[in-house]
Amino acid sequence: MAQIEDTAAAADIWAFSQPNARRSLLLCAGGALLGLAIAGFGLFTAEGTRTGSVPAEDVALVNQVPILMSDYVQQVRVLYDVSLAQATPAQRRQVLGDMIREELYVQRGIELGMQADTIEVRQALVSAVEAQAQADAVMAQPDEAQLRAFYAANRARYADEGVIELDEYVLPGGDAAGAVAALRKGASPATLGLRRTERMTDGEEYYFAARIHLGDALFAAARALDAGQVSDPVPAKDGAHILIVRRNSKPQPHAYAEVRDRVLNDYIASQAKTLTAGNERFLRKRADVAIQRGFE
Amino acid sequence: MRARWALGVAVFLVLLAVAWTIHGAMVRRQAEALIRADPEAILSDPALRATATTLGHTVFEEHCAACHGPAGRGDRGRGAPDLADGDWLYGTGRVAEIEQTVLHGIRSGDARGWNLAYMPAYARAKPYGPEAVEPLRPAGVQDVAAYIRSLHDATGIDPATVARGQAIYAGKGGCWDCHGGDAGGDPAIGAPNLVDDVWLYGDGSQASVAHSIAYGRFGRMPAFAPTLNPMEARAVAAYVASLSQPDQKEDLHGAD
Repeated sequence: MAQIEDTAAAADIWAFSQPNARRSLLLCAGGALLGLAIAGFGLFTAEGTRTGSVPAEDVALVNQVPILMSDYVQQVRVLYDVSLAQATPAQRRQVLGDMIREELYVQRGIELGMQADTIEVRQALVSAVEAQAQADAVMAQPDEAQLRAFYAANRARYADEGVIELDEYVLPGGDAAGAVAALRKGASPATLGLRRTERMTDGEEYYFAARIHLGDALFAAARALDAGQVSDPVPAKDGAHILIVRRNSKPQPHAYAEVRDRVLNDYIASQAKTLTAGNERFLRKRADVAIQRGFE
Repeated sequence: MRARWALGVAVFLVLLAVAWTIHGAMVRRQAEALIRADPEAILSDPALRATATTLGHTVFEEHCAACHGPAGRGDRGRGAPDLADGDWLYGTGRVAEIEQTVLHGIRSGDARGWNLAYMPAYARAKPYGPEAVEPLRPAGVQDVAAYIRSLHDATGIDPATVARGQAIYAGKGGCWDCHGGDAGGDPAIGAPNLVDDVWLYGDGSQASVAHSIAYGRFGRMPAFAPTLNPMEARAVAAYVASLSQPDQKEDLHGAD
């Protein structure tokens, strides 16, 4: 009789029109198990979760520090010039062993405080922190409006160099103003006793080179002149110098499109400089720096 | 009746959750297979290729298309190379090489990025920061540009000009140091091949080449290591490699 009642109760458990305590319990248990399964899946496969397994993107974990698969593949290529599939098991083991060894030594070096003593490590750390401080600027991709604004504000930086060709003469003594006046009227330099210098005899020069060859004063006089014009005499130790300009292409700004790569580079450099300065101010502000008396 | 409906909805939701979980697991397994695979084998494996190019295309559109264009055909105005022409400025187009470039960039500030050299500006007093390089005269810049043009088509170019340009190229200009004695370039440092018809900047005209010689070039690509996860980086690298290998059937292992 009791067995018949049990069977009837079991049959009634899925009779949803009737309340049933066992069914409720079973459904609750099923839901809990499902929840646990989903949570477990999420927990043990989520990126960054500390697990006993090695994440797919890593070839190994050394004290939970990952050795990236991409670095491993690259190292196999560098050492043996083969792809991962072509590498022999011995080659793979060798590369992985070397990479694990390096990581262990790096970790041990930090434990021993090598960064405080080894010059190369200190230099590398300084460079790395500088790079880190500049990372936001370097990694950022400014939009075209920002770049165009930077270009507009620094247009002179994106001008071409300017090209000049001229003849330079020296009048060791005598009436320099008269010689200039005669030259401007078309007289020949030779008839005026002018001696040609050898500083600008190779034809066209970029402005920077002409400045080096002529010096600042003469170059300033030269760059103001147009083709065919004669400068005023510029006094020097060896006499009055007079310039006759043959050609003068003054610096012209390049169009934005022609120099976009330089604009981008300069923009990022300026942003990085600002960030580096800010980072240094922050470090100094939060640091407790005690300086020996007399060395402030 | 109402309870039956409620149970039906509950069962449906449970099945949906299970299906979603299974789908997630499968997607993750595919992605893991992608990251564990030999990078050079991805494009010759249909399943991996499909996974990589699908994910890679999405990543490319979000992060790369702004410079390289939606089809990866590049932008000569920006010096963004064509990624579909099979000509590689850095490396030889292997997926692993592209992946490293994606992760660490070019002149990006990342110490592991490509940053070995850049094109000097020969019309400046100090053409090249890292080491001493002599500037050129305006005529010298034009001579070298003419020499480079002559490597493509010497018609109408004065042979004496070409000879002067070649002398500068192989001598005081130091161009050979990066671009090679044969002007064939050097993918180990990103020095472009000057004898093919692929131009990174401009149209290869005398004026365009002279501009690059006179004022230099400093192309830059950001490092995406802080932005992309390893699977996205691998996928976009495979996708980029696939742009120049659209119908690849052969096993890439043999091509190494």
